[in-house]
Amino acid sequence: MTIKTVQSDNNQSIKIEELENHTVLTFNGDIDAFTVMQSKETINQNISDNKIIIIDLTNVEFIDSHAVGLFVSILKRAHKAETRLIFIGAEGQPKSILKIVGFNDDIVCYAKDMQEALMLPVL
Amino acid sequence: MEPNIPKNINNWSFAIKHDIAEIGGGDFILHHKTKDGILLVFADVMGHGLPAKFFSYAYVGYLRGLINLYLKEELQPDILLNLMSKNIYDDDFLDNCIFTCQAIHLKNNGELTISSAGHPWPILSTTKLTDVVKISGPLLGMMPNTHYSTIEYQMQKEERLILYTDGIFENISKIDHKKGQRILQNNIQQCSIIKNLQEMTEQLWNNQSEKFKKPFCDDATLLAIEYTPNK
Repeated sequence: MTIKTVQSDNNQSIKIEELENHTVLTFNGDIDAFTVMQSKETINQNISDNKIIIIDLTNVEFIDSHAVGLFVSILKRAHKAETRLIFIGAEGQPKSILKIVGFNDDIVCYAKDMQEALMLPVL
Repeated sequence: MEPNIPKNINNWSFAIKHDIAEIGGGDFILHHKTKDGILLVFADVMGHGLPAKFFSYAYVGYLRGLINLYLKEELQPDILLNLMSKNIYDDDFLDNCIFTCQAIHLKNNGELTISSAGHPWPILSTTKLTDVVKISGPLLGMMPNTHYSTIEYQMQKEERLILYTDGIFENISKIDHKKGQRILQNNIQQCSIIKNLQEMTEQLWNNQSEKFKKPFCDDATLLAIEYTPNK
């Protein structure tokens, strides 16, 4: 398992973990232009195209349009690699935004926690 | 290029309010006369400032080209969004910026057809009730071969449809969208007794600004549409 962390000054951080069949992106704090600008390149370099991508939003209370843009690019990458994108812990404003812009159950998966996400079958 | 539209086209009246978070702004409206009405695209390029402005110009140019290309077919809202989505998915340049939009065909007889790509639900306002129009669809270019759905509705005289970009309830308080939409809906209900469309829109805008304490942290646009036959 490899771990990379991108940490900013205002309590925002992203942890990237490589598991056997999954890449897990764990966000902490708001996901906004600043977070995305700081982390996008690291995320792109560390996502494995043959693995399921899990985005953990358990500790995220706010996302803006830049976060949506980041998630769309991750979704397209997952789709082209014929793997899947799973969101866990999405509640409140983040969940509401994801639903409005079309991250529906026929495009992505939602799981309540990591255990449930890891149980979902590999495509 | 601020979002703009004439006050009256055929049997429809329009009133608009708009504000930007910083120089530039990515909200735009495009309208095109069809043989039996108006095709309208109401859009919000994500982000704000000059980058959003740049992409809104790019999208408007692209949309005009697309509509002209299919001029004889008279594109319906869902077909327009299907085409746009496919092309954006395949285009490395347009793919760099995402935007939400609603495409609406307003017919001269009061019928409207609406499709949506990641945009907040519009709100229908009559003197008796105010309700959201639950039309949804994914962002353009999110997935290949997306097929957008439509909702059709027969507008009655003096009924109004309110379109808005989410900037109208986004400020530093980072309010939940659902709550923001409910507040806007109540606000529209309160203003529905104002007969003059422009005055209603002004009052609605002022109430929103008061509620959410400017400055908005995103571009905000409000468009009120009223069916006004024989005006």
